[in-house]
Amino acid sequence: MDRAVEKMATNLRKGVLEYCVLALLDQREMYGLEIANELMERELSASEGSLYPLLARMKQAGSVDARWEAGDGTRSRKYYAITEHGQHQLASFREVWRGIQQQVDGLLGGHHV
Amino acid sequence: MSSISTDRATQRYLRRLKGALADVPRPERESILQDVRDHIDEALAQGRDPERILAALGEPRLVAEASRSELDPRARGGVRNPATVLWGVTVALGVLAAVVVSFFLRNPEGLSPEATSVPQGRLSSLVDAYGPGAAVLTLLPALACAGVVLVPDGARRWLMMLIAALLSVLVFTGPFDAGLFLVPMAITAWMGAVIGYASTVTAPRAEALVMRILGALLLVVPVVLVLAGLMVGSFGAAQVPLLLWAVFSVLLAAGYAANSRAAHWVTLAYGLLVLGVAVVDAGILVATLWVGGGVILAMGLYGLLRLPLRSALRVPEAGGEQS
Repeated sequence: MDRAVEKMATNLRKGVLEYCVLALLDQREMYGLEIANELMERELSASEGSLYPLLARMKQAGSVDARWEAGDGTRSRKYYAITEHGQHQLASFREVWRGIQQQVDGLLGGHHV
Repeated sequence: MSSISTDRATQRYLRRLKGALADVPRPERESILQDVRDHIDEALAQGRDPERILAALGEPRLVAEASRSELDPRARGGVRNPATVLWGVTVALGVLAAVVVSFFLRNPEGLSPEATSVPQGRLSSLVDAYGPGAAVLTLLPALACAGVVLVPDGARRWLMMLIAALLSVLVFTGPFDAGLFLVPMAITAWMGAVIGYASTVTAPRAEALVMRILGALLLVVPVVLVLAGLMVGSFGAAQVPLLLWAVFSVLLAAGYAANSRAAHWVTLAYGLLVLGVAVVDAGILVATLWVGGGVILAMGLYGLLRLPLRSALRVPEAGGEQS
């Protein structure tokens, strides 16, 4: 991908990544690698490493919660779950996103067809 | 917890990440390190290639950078980076000091009070005496500091610290008493190097308490000195303005001690005003006012950039983790 294009995509993703994580966790609880895999699959994140600072901040802000659960074997896994506060945020984001999406699509549509 | 991430590259990656995260607050740092370690373990268990895993995680430096910007409430609140603010202030103070030293200071041998009794004709500014080259020379500290933007991000902190150390040496060894004029710059350069890159953007509780008390003391000490002068009657005519100033200082000190943001802003403005007076019209007090103004300015900056916002109460950790 062209450098400038990549930068454009990175900037756009940066703003929505947090809500994509909330949307994923709204489906079910997930552990770190699962979230990372889902995001990478959808090409929503360029570097997996930046997910964890984001999760740490979201936890600090109270939109997600973490708990330990015995995984397969002897290992225990840290699962992330969305909190009620997180769900409120997700609902707000949904509305904001719809509005932006519609307007931007409308603007772009004219040249796109 | 059990860890299977024992290969060398992984260990080195985690070590580097830990180092890069050194200035991130501990709970978040531990959480991030733990998550990354788990991520690697899980990915290895799924049979992914160790090198690919690390490559996909990204450079430790970038992860640490992301952490800093995620966890810095001021960065998210749109307030500029303290390091940048302090750098800018340092450069500005350097330029201002150069102007004062080159053009405004008029005395042949430093700032001895006797200098005022020397007839005007025999006084010369640095530029008069040594030519424009001297002015350029006095600009060197400001230029060196401005040059910090030219080095890569990672090296800035260290260059800033080096400059702060050199300035501190110059304060004591500078020609004439030009060194004194570098005091404000040296202070803000140290602040830039230390708190500009400290992590916990806001001061830990103990530091905040010490600095609030220190700031309040620094604001009232001149008042105490001057009032002591009033008692022995050495200030005569200027009593009313002096008393007003004393009341202002005491109120401001109380505000500073209470960590009022308004007080921090007023302190900043007060420092600038004192610096301005030093430049424009200070006579024999120029060095005193310049140093004092610089210290007050630095206290104001510190309050604004480093003391915790009173409104921004920390969100309590939601839920607990059991391991």
